[in-house]
Amino acid sequence: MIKAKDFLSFLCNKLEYRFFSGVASPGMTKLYKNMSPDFMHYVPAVNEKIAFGLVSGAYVAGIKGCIIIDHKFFYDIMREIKDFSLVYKIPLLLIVHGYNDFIENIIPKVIIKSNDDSDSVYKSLQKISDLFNKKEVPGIIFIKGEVFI
Amino acid sequence: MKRNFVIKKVLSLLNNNDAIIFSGSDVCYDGYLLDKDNHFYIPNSFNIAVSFALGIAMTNDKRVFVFVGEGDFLRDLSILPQISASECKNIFVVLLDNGCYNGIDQLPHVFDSVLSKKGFIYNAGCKIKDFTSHFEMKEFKLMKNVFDRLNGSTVILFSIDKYNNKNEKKFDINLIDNKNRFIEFIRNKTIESSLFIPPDAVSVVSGKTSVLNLDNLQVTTDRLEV
Repeated sequence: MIKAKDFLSFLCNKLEYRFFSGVASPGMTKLYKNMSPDFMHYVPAVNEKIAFGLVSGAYVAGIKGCIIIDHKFFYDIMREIKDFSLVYKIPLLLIVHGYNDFIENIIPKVIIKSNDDSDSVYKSLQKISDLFNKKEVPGIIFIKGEVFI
Repeated sequence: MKRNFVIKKVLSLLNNNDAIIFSGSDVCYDGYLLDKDNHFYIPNSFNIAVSFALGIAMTNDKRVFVFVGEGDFLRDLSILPQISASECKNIFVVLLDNGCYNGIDQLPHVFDSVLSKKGFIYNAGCKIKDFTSHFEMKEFKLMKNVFDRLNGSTVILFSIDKYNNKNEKKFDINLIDNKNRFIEFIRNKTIESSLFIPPDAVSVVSGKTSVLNLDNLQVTTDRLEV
């Protein structure tokens, strides 16, 4: 388990993801509570497609972004990831609560479980972020179970 | 009014520091004929263009215009309250409404049957301007003045002719090169934003722009007696 504040701090200050968007997911309550305008900008979106568009636009303007969604709605943006992110090489990071086995292996993914310690979580984030920066591909971080305290 | 004529005219009214996004292969093709560094093309449109443009507008001070057909735009109307809530002054949706699906033998679109198109968009939270009559009256000078003073979040509506795109050429461009060129343009901070025109010092009177002479302004110092 990892403190939600430390997770966000590492993501925003160390890896420099500053623009966040998404649709409220019940499993991410602790993450929302620890958000602060001091180090990040969160835009609540009407749906997942719009969150995807906003974060992609922010990347073009020079701000790395991340969307926070629930796994139930992950397939709503699958086509956009395939036909937009991968075609144009406009990457974004997806933090998805829950896990779905049916997700295709077209983009890199890591799974953070409730028994993972903070060091292994940081390593996973760093790994995804490196791919994001070097290859300009989107990455998914699956949050499985109660990860945040 | 033909679509390519409208796009050509509107592009001539915009500034070189405006970011312009085209959505849909037909619209992209027309935009590509007048290609510039500030153009970005999304030929395989999946109603991502407007939210993508909003993302740019939120994080940049350049004016962002997105050209989109009504079929593409109406697929996801939830973008309208999102634009409204963003309170961005630099996002403009140029809505090209021909009332039918292109290339499918002009199959009618549901937007053509809406009771009031303007009221519909306005009630969703966005400002709306219809320039169709300006085109019919050929008031392009007036349009230029209005375009220079436009304030977002605005949907700019144009009613265009029905057409069939069967014989049109396919749009073909290297999308990665297009993206890299567009990123360079957007991130170039030396290109000033057109939003920095001070609105208080300028008044638009009957189509002519005139700067207010502050010396002639009379300031009254009399106080009301109670």
